[in-house]
Amino acid sequence: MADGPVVTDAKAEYDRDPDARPEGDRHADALGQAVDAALIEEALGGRLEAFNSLVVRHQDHLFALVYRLVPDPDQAADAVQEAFFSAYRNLASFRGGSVRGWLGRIAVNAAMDIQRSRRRRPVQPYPEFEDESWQPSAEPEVEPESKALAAERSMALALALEELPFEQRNCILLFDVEGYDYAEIAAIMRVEVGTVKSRIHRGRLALRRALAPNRELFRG
Amino acid sequence: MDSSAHSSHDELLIARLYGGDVDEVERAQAVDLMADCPDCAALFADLGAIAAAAAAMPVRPRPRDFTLTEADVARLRRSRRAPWAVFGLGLRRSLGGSLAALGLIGVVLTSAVSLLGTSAATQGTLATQDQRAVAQVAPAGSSVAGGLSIATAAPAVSAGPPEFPGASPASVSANDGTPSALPAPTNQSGPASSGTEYAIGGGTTPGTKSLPSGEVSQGSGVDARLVWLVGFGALFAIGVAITILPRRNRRRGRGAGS
Repeated sequence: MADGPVVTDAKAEYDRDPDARPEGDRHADALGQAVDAALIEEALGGRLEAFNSLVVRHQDHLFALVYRLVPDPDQAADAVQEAFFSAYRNLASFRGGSVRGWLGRIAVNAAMDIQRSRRRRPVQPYPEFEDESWQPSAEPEVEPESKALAAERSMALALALEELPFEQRNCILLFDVEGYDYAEIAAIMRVEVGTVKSRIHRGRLALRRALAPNRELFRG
Repeated sequence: MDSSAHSSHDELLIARLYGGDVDEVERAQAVDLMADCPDCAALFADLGAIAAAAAAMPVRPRPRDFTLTEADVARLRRSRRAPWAVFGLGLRRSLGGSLAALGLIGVVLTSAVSLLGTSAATQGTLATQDQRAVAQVAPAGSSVAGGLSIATAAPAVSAGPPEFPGASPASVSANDGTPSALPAPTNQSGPASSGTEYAIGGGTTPGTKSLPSGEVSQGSGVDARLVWLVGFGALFAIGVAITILPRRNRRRGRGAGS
C-alpha cells in the first residue's frame, strides 16, 4: 500500500479536480491507484463513506465487466453487489497493487459462480436483446443503417459467445474486451498461463465457426 | 490454393499468431501460410474483426447503485462472526450438502431397518404361534437340547388354531430340554423367514432381548433405532442449515443493498 503522505497528496489532487485527468493517461492511472489505496486505508479504519467512494469509482466498470460474462442484468447486478460485499469483508487481505484489478478478480469470481449455476440450470440467453430500450443512443451523425448493422453484429456475437464454454468465453472477454493480460487472467481464473492462451486461441476459432452464418456482418 | 488444401492447414497456428503467442520460427511458418492460402489470410482477418466487434459491444448501464448501507455492514459483521463464516462459501455448500446427504441416507436406512424389523417381528410372532401348534403335535424327541429350536420351514405345519390357547402340557423343551409349558402369550420377535431357526431363551435375534425365563423383549432395540433416527435427522437438519443459511443472508443483503 502506498505511503500516507503520497496518498494524501494524490487524493487531494484528485479531489480538487477529478475531471481534469485525461483518460488512459499513465499519470492519471497512478493517481487513481493512489486514491484507491487511500480510500482503502480509510475504509480499514472503519469509514464506510470511504469504502462507498471506492464503490462509486468502480461500480460502472465492474457492472460492465460482469454483464459481459453474465448477460442477465439481474444476475449481473447480484454478482456485482456480492463482489462489493466480499471486498468489504476482505479489505484487510488487500496486499496493494491495483484496486481495480483486485475488485475485478472478485467480481469475475462472483460471475463465475453464477455461470456455474447457469450451466446447471440453463436459461434463455440474452432475453433482453428483445428490448432495445437500454441501447445507448447513437450519435446524430451515425447512419441508421450503420446503427442497425452494429446492433445486428452485437446480437450475433453475443449469441455466438453464449455457445462457447464459459471458460473460453471468460478468457476471450477478459483479454479482448477488458484488456487483462494472460498472466492476470491466469491469476483470476486460477489456471496456468498456457491454459489461458489455449482457451483464448481455441475460443476465437470456435467463435468464428459459430459466426459462420453471419460472417458477412464482420467483413467490410 | 483451394479450400481442400486449407483444411489441412493449422488454424490454431494462425490463431496463435493473432494472439502474439508464437516464436520466430512459428511466426515465419504462419506468415508463409497466409501468403499462400487465402482462407488462412481470411481467418486472420476475421479474428481481428471479431475481436474489434467484441470490444464495441454495447454496455448496459448499471441498474442500481451498489454502495453499502449501515445495515449491510452490520449484517456483514454478523456473518463474519458466524461459525460457518470461517469456511469459504463453496466449502460450506459442500460440507452442508454432504452432511445433509449423510443424514438423509441414515434416516432412510434406519427407517427401512425399523420397518423390516417390525415386519419380521410380526411374521416371527405368527411363526411362533405356528411353531407352538407344531410343538403341540410333534413328538417329544423333536426338541433340541439347550433351547427351543424349531426349523421354521414355511409353510409350518399347523395343527391347531392360529391363536395359541395358553399353556398346555407341552412336549417342547425350553433352556434345559425338559418338557415344560410355553409361556403364553409370547413376545418373541426377529427374522422369521423360511428356514430360519429360532431359539427361545437360548439365543437372541437383532432387536430382541432374551430373558432368563425364556421371555423375549424388544423395547430396548426400538429405543436404539429411535436414537439413530433422531441422530441422523439432526445431521440432515444441520446440513441443510449450513447450506441454506448463508444464501438467505446473502439474499437479505442484496435486498438491503439495492
